[in-house]
Amino acid sequence: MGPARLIGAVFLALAFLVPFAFQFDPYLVHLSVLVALYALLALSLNVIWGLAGQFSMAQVAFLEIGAYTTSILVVQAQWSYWPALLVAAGLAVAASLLIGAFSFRLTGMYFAIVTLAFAQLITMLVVNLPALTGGPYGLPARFRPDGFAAGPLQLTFASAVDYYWIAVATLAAGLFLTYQLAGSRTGRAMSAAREDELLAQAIGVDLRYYKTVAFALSSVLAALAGGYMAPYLTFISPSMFGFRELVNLILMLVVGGVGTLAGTVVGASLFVVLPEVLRVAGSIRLGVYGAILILVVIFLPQGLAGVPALLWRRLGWRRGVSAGGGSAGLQAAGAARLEPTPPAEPR
Amino acid sequence: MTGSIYALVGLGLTMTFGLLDILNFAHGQMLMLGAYGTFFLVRAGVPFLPAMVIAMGGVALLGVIVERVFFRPVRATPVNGLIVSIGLIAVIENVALVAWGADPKDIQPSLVGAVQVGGVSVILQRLLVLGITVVLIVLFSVFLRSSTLGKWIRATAQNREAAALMGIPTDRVVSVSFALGSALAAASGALLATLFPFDPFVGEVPVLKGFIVIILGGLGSPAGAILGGFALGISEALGAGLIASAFRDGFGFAILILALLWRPQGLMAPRRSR
Amino acid sequence: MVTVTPLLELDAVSKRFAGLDALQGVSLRIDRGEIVGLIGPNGAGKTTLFNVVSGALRASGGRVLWEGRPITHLPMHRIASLGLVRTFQAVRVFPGLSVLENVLVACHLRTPGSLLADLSGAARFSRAEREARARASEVLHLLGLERHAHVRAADLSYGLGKLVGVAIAFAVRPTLLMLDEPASGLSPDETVALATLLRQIHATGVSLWVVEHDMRFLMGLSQRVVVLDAGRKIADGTPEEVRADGRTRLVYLGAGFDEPVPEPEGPGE
Repeated sequence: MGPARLIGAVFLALAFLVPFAFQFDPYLVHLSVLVALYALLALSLNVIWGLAGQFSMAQVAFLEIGAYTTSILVVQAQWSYWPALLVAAGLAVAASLLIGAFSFRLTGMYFAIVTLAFAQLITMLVVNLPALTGGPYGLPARFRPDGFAAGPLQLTFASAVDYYWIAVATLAAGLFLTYQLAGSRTGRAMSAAREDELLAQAIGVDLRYYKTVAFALSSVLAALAGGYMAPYLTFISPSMFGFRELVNLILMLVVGGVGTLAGTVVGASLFVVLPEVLRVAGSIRLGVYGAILILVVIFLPQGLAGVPALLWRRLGWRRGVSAGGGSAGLQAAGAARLEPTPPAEPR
Repeated sequence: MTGSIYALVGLGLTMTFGLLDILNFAHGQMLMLGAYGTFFLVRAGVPFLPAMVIAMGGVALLGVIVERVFFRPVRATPVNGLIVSIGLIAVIENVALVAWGADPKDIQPSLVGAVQVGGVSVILQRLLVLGITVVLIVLFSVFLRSSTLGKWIRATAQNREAAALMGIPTDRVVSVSFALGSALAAASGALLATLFPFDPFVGEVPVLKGFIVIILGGLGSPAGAILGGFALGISEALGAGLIASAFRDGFGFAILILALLWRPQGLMAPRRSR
Repeated sequence: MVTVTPLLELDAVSKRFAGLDALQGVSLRIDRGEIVGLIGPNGAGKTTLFNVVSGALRASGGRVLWEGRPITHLPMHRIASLGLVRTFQAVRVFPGLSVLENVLVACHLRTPGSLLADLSGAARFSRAEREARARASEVLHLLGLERHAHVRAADLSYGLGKLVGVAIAFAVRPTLLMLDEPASGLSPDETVALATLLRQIHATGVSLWVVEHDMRFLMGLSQRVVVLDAGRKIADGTPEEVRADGRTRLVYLGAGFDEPVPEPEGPGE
């Protein structure tokens, strides 16, 4: 196993020990749950953006779909949790396929706008169908995922720790899948699409197919995060899925390092822990985040995960491969290049 | 009438996107600043029109600064530009929020009352706004078409390298274009402010509509932006009247989807060479 | 007499841009195993022709047939997967990936695989993966790129970058490789090495169609040459025939046509 992989595996193993390390302190466990959930969301964006090179603003919408669908099915339609979660994920995939169907043949910029429009649409739907979703005032999600046994653990979801286990398990699975994907035939095709769409096409990569797959996968991850989030927070409302969340998400990934697996986790951790530690006044938090985002994008586009590689190069050692110190398989795309190659002739 | 405002916003956006391939989401903030700027000037006793023009100027200046400082470094990677603009939205909105508070403000319309036009009651101020926007659009189009600077802008938008080779100071053209775009946004904001109350968040929705408009009309085409703007405004009004008005915003998206399916390059996409 | 289906056949292909007839009624054929050159003055439409045939642009008229079947309006990636692969005039690589990864991408495409296998990681151990990696090594070896296998493609020198471009295209196992000015920007030494390389590639069974301005390079390499001028084909024959053809000489104003004088590389079209 290469060093990066080893580190990754060790890290994941350690992740499962976190609650023990924190001696089950409820506050710290709570933070861990948030980190895990946000990391899952960040991973979702990473798959479509870091790997496949398509910047999307729809992830928060998928999060919203996941949260609301699960909650509505359980609370209003008396479904049991896990089937509801499954349906929520399926709905997210369907939405992603729909969006992809008509926007992937266009340049990346169009896609970005469409994802934004989609996000707005979802929020609009939620706000305007109060009978179903509780409207702008939100929807209580006071239910509990059905418990089950997993090895030595008995999960009842009565306490935060159980949420941590499930979130981390999903995150670990997601990271693993993404890692495998990146090094596989499909993943390489996605990387090709990210690096140079025209060249990729010239060697036979069906851009639409690969972008669609990436987008669908990413939507599942986000929807799952949403499905976990709803019962954990016991309350969801449209304001939780708006512009702030979007900025938060982008910030996490950009600062952590787009295109790297380490970046997903680092970014999520940073932006869950930092606000708690610094207690930055809520009213200027958004502005501060925006400023950080701008600075990082301009000066450190590869994020923190790119720092090792940066140092590597500065110290003049072996001409680096694709940067990304902690990454394992995913190429650090910097912030993925969306070449606005005009679709020369529409096909 | 909303169409004309959309057209204005769309025009402004085309200015930045056509040249820089940057989707400047912060455009909405220019709109907001224009509204606030005009508001304060009016409150200080300046009549509306001059106030608007001054605000436009101020925002244009800000636009140049923004372009120089924030967008130029990331010119190579359009996505980064987009992210920067998102960051800018956060920052500017936050500053406005802290400085001026979240309570809505408005500007007194210059014309009060309504008039009956063919059985429909039309608010006079709306007519005025329509008139002003039309004037602005016309002025702008004329400028683009006939003036040297306008030609420079169009040339640079089509092929920056060729333009530079021909001696056009492309960097400055870009800055000017950004300034113009911002000025247009400011105007939209000021005009909008006379019709609806506004707060620091007023810029968000129009910007999105603006993007829809430029997609409809074809990214990079000013004429398309104008057409698209009016098309959007009219269809929204129609749709809102026919179906639930709560979904008015949704019409924009529906139209966007339809347009993308039918004619991906938009109504009037210009030929662009790389 | 048996007529062999040509590998590639163009039937009155035309391409019109607003106000400009870039290609007018271009017909030609390329048979399996040939090395065909395409020359013409700047602006003649050579790259446009390549673009239309490879699917980057849509033909305004005419047909393109591959192994007898029409591919005229197929999307670019479909055409590539049929075996018709082109390179680009400028250096075009996957910048953030290493040279090895660049080639691997191409190798992978020809291997079968399923999404499920890819996700689960089972694919890593499959025969297809091993074959892809083996082929990648082969290609790197043939092109002499082994030393640079782990260099980021964006960091490569111009000459190496162009070489990687060829490597990528070759790695896909094309039946017909269309090279757009592969020698442009290369030093005389590099050009000679390129010619040798192309012959080696040809020897593995790949047919070649090459656009070039460097006459000595092209004439020495090609079995047959097609001449384009202002969007029309004006000559088609062996290098000697084309050299002797009156119209061609007119159009070329004798630029390196008769004498074997190495000329400085001009800018591409």
